[in-house]
Amino acid sequence: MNHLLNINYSFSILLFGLGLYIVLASQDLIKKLIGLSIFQTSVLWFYINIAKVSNAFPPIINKNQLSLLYTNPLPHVLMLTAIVVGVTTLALGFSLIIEIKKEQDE
Amino acid sequence: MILESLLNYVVILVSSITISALILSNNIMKIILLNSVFSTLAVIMYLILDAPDVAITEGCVGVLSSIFSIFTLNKIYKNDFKIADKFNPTLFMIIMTITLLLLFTTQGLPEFGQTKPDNYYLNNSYNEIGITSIVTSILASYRGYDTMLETLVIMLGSLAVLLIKPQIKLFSIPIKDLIAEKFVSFIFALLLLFAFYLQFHGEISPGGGFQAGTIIAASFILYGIVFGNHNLIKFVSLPKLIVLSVAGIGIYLITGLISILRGKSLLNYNILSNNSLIGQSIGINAVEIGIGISVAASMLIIYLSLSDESST
Repeated sequence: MNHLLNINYSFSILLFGLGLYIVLASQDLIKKLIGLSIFQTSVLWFYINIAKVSNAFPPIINKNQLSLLYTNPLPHVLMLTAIVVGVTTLALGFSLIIEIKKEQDE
Repeated sequence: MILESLLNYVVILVSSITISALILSNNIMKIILLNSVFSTLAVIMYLILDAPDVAITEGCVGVLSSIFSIFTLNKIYKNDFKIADKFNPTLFMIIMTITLLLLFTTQGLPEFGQTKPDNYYLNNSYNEIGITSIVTSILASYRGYDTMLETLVIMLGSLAVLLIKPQIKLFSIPIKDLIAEKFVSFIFALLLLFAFYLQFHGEISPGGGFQAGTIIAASFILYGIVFGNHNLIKFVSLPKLIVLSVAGIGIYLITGLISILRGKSLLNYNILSNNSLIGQSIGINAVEIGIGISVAASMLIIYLSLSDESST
């Protein structure tokens, strides 16, 4: 149990739980969607935390020194996709909420 | 280094305060604003964790997500922002138990910052593709299929938003303020210049098609908010936007099909030119232009659909 409570991993999992709580417990539809976006952000934080290497450079190659220590670029690429798809899902959810409220008011 | 780890703790503390305020809040406007504050804190966190590409994408996309939330809020809650929401302790306890169990699984992970990335991309990307940004080389060249289908998902999302609400009157009330109009006239060109900078510098620095597309959309959205949608339609009408969002994916696909016509597999940029490095550069630039056009058009379609003030 030597690195049980590293703060970065712990906070991303705590965000996971809090986002899940907002989705399940709130009675308002917009708040549920915002909880879903927090939930997605927590997964991104976790992946970017995994990719980090101490005392390393961001993954942009410096042409003068070709053998430096870089952070792992593969999770960055996967999370780029996840962010953009997340905003599309959010927009679609919002337009569905507008239609639902319109049906409820009639 | 000390500053970075101190900033790490500060960002985690401030974001935990933000999220707690968001959970306990009853005012929907406050919740949406706290969400955009949290998105900004996430950008700072990604910069601390040495992920500049992810940071700039989250920054650009957080803008659009806040704009869409506020337009939805405007349509549903006219003047009264109070929602009926109570804190539910039993559910909170159950979810915290599950979270604590999940926390114990981080024991199996390697220690923070001590992973040794020795993968293929870090060693071979500069020799095979020749651009200095490894993330763009993976995104546009090594994993080009994923990016093509992701752009397709964004286009389909915008089409689905149109299908949910087919009768769009494209009418919105402009802001009649002299300062706003002068400011937008000035900043519009600068925003487009920045978007083109991000688009064409995607090879050598953080940037690329997605970020540029969202900033182009944001500049047109700013114009539409201040001057009214009926003025925006004179430049970018809805049929043109639908054609543009499909044409972006078309550019992507045609770049891939050219390599089939020359006898190799789909999206093989090496044979677009005699020198394989120049071929990769041509392929990546063409593909990023396609992504930028498609993302900008899709985000504008979603904005036009959500900001429609007709009373039907």
